Amino acid sequence: MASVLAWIPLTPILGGLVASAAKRSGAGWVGLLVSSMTVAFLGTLVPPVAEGGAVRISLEWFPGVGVRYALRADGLGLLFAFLVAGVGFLIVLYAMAYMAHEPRTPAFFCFLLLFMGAMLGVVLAEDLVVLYLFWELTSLASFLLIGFHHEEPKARQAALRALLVTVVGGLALLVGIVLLAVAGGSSQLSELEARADRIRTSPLYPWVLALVFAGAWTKSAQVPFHFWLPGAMVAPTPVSAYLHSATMVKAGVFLLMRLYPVLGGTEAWAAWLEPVGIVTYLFGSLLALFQDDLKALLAYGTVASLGLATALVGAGPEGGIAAMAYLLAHAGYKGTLFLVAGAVEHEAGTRRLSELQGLGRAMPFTAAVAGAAILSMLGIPGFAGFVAKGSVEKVLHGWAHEAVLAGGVLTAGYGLRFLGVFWGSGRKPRGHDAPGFLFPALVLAMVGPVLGLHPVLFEQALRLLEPEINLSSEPVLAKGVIPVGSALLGAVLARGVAGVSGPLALPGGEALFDRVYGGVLGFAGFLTRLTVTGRLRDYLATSLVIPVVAAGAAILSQGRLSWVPVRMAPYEGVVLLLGLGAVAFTVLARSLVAQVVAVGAVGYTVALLYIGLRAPDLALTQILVETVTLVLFLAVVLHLRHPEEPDRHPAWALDLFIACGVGALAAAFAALILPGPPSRHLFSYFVQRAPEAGGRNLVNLIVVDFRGLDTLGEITVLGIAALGVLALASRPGMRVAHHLVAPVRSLILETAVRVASPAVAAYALVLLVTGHYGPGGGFVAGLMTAMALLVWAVAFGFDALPQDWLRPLAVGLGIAYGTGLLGTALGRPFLAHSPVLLGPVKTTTSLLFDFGVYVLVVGATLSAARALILVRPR
Amino acid sequence: MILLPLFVGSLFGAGTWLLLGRSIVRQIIGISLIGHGANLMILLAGGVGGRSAPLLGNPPPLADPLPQALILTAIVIGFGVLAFLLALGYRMHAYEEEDP
Repeated sequence: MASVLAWIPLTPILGGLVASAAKRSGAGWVGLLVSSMTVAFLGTLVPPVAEGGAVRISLEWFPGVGVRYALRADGLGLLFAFLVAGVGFLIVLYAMAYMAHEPRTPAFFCFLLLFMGAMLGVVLAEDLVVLYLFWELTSLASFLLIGFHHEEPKARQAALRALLVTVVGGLALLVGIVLLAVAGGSSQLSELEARADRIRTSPLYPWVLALVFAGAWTKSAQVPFHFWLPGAMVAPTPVSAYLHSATMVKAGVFLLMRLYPVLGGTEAWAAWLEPVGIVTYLFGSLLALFQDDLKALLAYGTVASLGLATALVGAGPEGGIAAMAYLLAHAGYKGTLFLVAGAVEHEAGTRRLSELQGLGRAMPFTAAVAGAAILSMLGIPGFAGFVAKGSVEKVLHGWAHEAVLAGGVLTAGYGLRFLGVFWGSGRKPRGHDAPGFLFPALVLAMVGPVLGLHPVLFEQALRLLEPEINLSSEPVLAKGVIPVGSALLGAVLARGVAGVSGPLALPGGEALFDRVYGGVLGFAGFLTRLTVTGRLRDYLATSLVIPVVAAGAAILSQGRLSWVPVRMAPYEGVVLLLGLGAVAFTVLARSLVAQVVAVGAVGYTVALLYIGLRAPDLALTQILVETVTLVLFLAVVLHLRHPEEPDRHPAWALDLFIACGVGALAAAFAALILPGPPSRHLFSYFVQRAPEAGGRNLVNLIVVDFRGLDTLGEITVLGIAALGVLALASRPGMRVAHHLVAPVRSLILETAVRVASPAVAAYALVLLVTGHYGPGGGFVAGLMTAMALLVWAVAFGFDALPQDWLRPLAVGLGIAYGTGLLGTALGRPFLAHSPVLLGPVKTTTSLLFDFGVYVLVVGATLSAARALILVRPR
Repeated sequence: MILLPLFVGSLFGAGTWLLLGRSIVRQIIGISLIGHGANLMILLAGGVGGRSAPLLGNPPPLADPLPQALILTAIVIGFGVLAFLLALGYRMHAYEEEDP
C-alpha cells in the first residue's frame, strides 16, 4: 500500500515526459491513462484511511539535514488528491477537444501532467521540505501553462507576474518552513503536530505565521496579491479551469488547513485570516459582477471563493470542514462554468458578455449544464452548494456572517450575468453543442445535484476528514429562503449592471507590482553599470585592492615585522642595489626599447641572486631564459610601426597608490616569511631516496623523477604556448618577411659562429647527460641548444635551419609521455622510472624523460622564435 | 638583510604599476617583473639557511631543493607564457593598424 503512495506524485510527472515524446493525438491518451491510473491508485488508499489511519511512506533523501521523501495520505490529503486527479482526468478529456487544432499539444499535456504530479505531491507531503519543492513545481508548471501561447506578449507578461508573485510567496514559505523546523526540531508534519504547544509559544511563532501566510495568500490570490489570477486567464481555458480555479489556487487554503494542527487555534490565527478572507470575498464578488469578459468574471469569482475558504479556515476546526465542503462544491460548479466559457468562446468566437446573447437556442445542452452549475453556486436546495453554504453559515458569526449574506447576493448577480449569455431572442447565433466540450462539463456539473440530493455521499466524503460529521439535519425550507431570496436580489443587480458599459477598473496590486518589478530591474541595472565597466583595468584594480587591503590588515594586526640576517657575500648587496636600480629604470625609462633592456637587466640580477641563494640550476636557467626572452622582446618591439607612447590613465595617481600597496604588501610578506623555520620534512625524504633515483643533483631529480608528473604537465603547457604563437602568426594577413630570413653577412661573425655554435650545442649535451650529478638537465640543455641554433640563423640566415620545428616539439612530448607509459607497461605507476645500465654507467629511464624535455624545449623555443622574429603583417 | 624583501616588493610594485597602464608591451614587461618577484618569494619561503647548493656530497646544510624545482618549472612556464603574450600583443598592434 505504502509503495503505491510513493508513486502517486511521480506517475503523472513520468507520464508527462512520455506525453512530451508522444505524437499529437497520443499525448492526450497518455494523459487520460495516467490520470485514471492515479485515481485507481488513490482508490486503493481509501479503505485504510476510512478506518481512521493514515498511509505513510518515508524514504531517506538528505540524511545530513534530516529531510526525507516522506508522504502521508490522510483524510485531508486524500480528498484533495481525488480532486486533483479526478478533475485532471476530465480536464485532459476536455483539452483533447479544445486543443485539437493546436500544434504543440504534446508540450501542453506534458506541462499539465507535470502540474498534476506536483500538486499531488503538495497535498500528500509529510515532510515540509518535500511540500515546498512540489509547491514551487506547481508555480513553475503554472508559469509554463499561462505562457503557453508565448508568442503573445500579454501571455508572457501574465505568466511572469504569476510566477514572480507565487515564487516570492514560495520563498517566504521556505523561510517559514525553516523557522518552523527550528522551532519544532523537525520538518516532519507528524512530529511538528506532536510539539504544537511548544511551537505556538515559541518566540519564532509570529515569524513563522507571517511567512506561512505570505506563501498561502500569494498562492490563493488573497487581496492584495489577487491580481495575478485574473491576469492568468490568458492561459488556454482548460488550464484556467484546472489550475486557476479547481486545484492550484486552493493550495494556499490547503496549506492553512494542513498546518492548522501545528499553528492554528491562536488569536493571531483567527485575527488575520478572517478579515483578509472576508475582504477578499467581498472584493472579488463585487469585481466579478462588473466584468465584461466571461473568464475574468469567473476569475474574480474564484478570488472571492478563495477568500471565503480562507476566512473559514481562520474560524477553527469546524471551519476547516466547512471550507473543505465548500471547496468540493466549488470545484464542481466553478470548474463546469470555466468549461462552459471555453465552449462558448470556441463556438461563438468571443467571451464578451456584451456581444453574447441567445446562445441557449444554439447550445441548449450547454445552457442546461451551465444552469445546473449556477444553481449549485447560488446554494439552491437540492444542490451541493446548498449543503456547503449551510455549514459555512454555521461557522461564521457576527459581521463575517452578514458579509457572507451580502456576498451571496453579489454571487447571484454575477452568476446570473453569466447565465445571461444563453438568454435573449433575435437572430439565431452560430455554434452548437460539441460533445467533446459537453461531456466533461456535464460530469463536473453532476457533482452539484448528486451531492445535493444525497447529502449522505457528501458526508461520507467528509468523514475522511472528521468521522463525527453530520450535514443532513438542515431544515431545507427555512434555510432555502436565503439563497432563493439572494437569487432574486441578484437578478435585479445583474439587470442593473448590464447597463453599465465596460468592466469596473479598480487600482489593483498589478500597478504596484509593475512598479516594484521595474524598480528592482532598475536597481540591478544601476549595480551592473557601477561594477561592470567593460574596462579590464578596473577589474584588475578591484581584484588587487581587495587582497591588498585584506591581507595588509591581517599583517598589520599581527604587528610583528622583524628582520633576520641572511648570509650573503658583500657583492650580493651590490647585486641587490643594481637590481633595485634596474627595476627603477624599467619603470622610468621613456623608450620602450630601453625598458625592454632594463627588464633584461632585472632578470640577470635575479639570476645572480640565485647564485647567492645556493640555486645554481635556477641561475643557469634564468640566464638562458632571460637571453632568449630579450631576443623575442626586441624582435617584437623593434618592429612595432608606431612604438607606443608612455601614456597613463587620467587616474594614474590611483594606479600609483595601488602599485605601492601591492609592493608594500609583497615586501612585508617576504619579510614575514624570512624568519620562519623552513620545513625539512620533505628535504630528508629527498636525501634518503636520491640514491634510488640514481643521482646527486636533488633539484634535477625532483624535476624528472620525484615530481615528474608536474614536469610532464609543464612541458605540455610549453608546447601549447608555442602552438599558440604559431597559430597567431599564421592568421590571415601575416607572412614570413623575406628580408628578415636573410643572413647578416659578416665574415667575423660567420667564423666565430662556425666555432662557437657547435661547441655550445655539444656542451649542452654534456649538461643534459650530467644533469643528475650537477647543475644542468633537459631544460638548460634545450635552451642552450636553441640559443646556439638562433645564433647560427643570424649568421647564415634562417634558411640554413629547418623550417618546421613542430616535429621536434611533438617528438619530445612523445618521448616524455612514452617514458611515463613505460612505467605503466612494467606494471608500476605511470612515470615510475627503472634503472638502466648505459655501458658502465648506471642510470635510470629518467634520463630518457629528460631527453624528451630537451627535444621539446628546442622545438618549442625555435617554433616560437621563428614566428616572432620572421612573421610580419603583409 | 633588509634589501631582499625590499627588492621583492619593488618587483611586485613596479610590475603592478606597468600592468595598470595602457600599453600592451609594458603590461607584458610588468607580468615579467611580477614573475621574478613571485619566484624569489617562493625561494624565500623555503628558507635561506642553506650553506651550499642542493647537490649531495656538498658540505651541509644544503639549501632546500623543492622550492628550487618549483621555480625551475615556473621560469620555463613563464617563458612560454611570455612568448605567447608577445605574439598576442604584436597581433593586436598589427590589427589596430589595419583598422584604426
